[in-house]
Amino acid sequence: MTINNDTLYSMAQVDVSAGPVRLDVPDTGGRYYVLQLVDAWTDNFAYVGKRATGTGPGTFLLVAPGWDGNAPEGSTVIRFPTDVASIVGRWAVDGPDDLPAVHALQDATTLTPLADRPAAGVPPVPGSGDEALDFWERYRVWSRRFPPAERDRDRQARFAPLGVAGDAPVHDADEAVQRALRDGYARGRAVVEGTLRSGSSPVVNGWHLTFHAFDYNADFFEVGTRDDPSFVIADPEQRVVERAAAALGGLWGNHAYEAAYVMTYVDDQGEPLTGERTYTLTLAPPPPVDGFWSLTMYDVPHYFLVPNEIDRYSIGDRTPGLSLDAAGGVTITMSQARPDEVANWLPAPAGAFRPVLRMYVPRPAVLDGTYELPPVVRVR
Amino acid sequence: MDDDLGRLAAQCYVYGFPLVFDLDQLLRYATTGVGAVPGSWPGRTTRS
Repeated sequence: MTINNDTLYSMAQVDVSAGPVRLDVPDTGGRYYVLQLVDAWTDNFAYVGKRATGTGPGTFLLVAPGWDGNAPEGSTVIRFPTDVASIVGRWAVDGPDDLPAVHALQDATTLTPLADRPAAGVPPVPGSGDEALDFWERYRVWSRRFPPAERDRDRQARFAPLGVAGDAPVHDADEAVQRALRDGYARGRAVVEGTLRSGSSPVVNGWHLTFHAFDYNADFFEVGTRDDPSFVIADPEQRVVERAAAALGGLWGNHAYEAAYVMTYVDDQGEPLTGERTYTLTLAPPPPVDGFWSLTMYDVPHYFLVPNEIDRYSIGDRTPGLSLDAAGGVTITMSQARPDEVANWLPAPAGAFRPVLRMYVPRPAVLDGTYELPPVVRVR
Repeated sequence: MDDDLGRLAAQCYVYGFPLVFDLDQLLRYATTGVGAVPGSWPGRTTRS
């Protein structure tokens, strides 16, 4: 996750192994929010929120993979693919004065275990100090406790010769197997990092269109998800490697149909963006969204927000005083130097920077490329 | 044979990394908390 000032986060880790857990959400009065449910294999398997279920009050029954009970009337069942999952909540916030209202909504969002016994939890795996073997031991224990999707079971079974599928700890494996595990740990890590570096997302006018980075869930389509081939990576090998790269680069990221993020490092001449220069970005029309959009400034290489004299870290359709042209388009100025007009100024750091455009609940034109983002233009 | 096993282990790492990383982070949030946010499963299972 990359820090932003559009939303407040709510995090929950939920274990349904002992029985259902009830999730209650309040009426948000039309405010954008999303509760994204992510299983232990990082599949986004359900969404609750403005796009998925509306902004009225709601009750959801979170249940284990094999649960076959009766749901209370008025509740929507969400079946977990694995006994544990994370809920990542994002709530639109319009600045410091809006914080109390969002905090009240967060406080009114509740999880209530209905079981009368404790849940099983995640099995503890004592560490030995051997980073590689400790990874494999956690994999051995947890992959047995949290089985993958049916489609991955044959693939997982093929790894049995590594001693990661049985009862014996990997630390007890013979020397040749331990050597292979250490070797595979380093080589596998290099593959994941290489995939993340090279990226498979298309680049248009300098913008990295990462619309399909989280499309590896091919099996679990609970409320709010889209069982749509255009949001599922078809190639099984690519699906596995992209899933790993997404976990390393952006654990718990949304499907793009919930929120689409694009970023650029270069200007219209292909040169790296730097606050020493002045640039404009003209969005005419602004991004078509059913949520909201924002452009956030980050320094490079740390990707931190950029302190500035007007305390503006992002600009977008919720920015007070944003100036539009007669046709409804908007031109944003990015520079470290303060321009004469600051209404549409997004302050940059002194050195390299990377803006990120977030489009919450983008319309189809964004995702199918009909809406094309222009390049960032160097003006001086 | 060793290289075959090493190759297999590399494939297994790519396959299994999301599970291990996800649960590492889930446990971090749940047991020790992150930043000013305390853990939600105090005293519950964790990796030592």
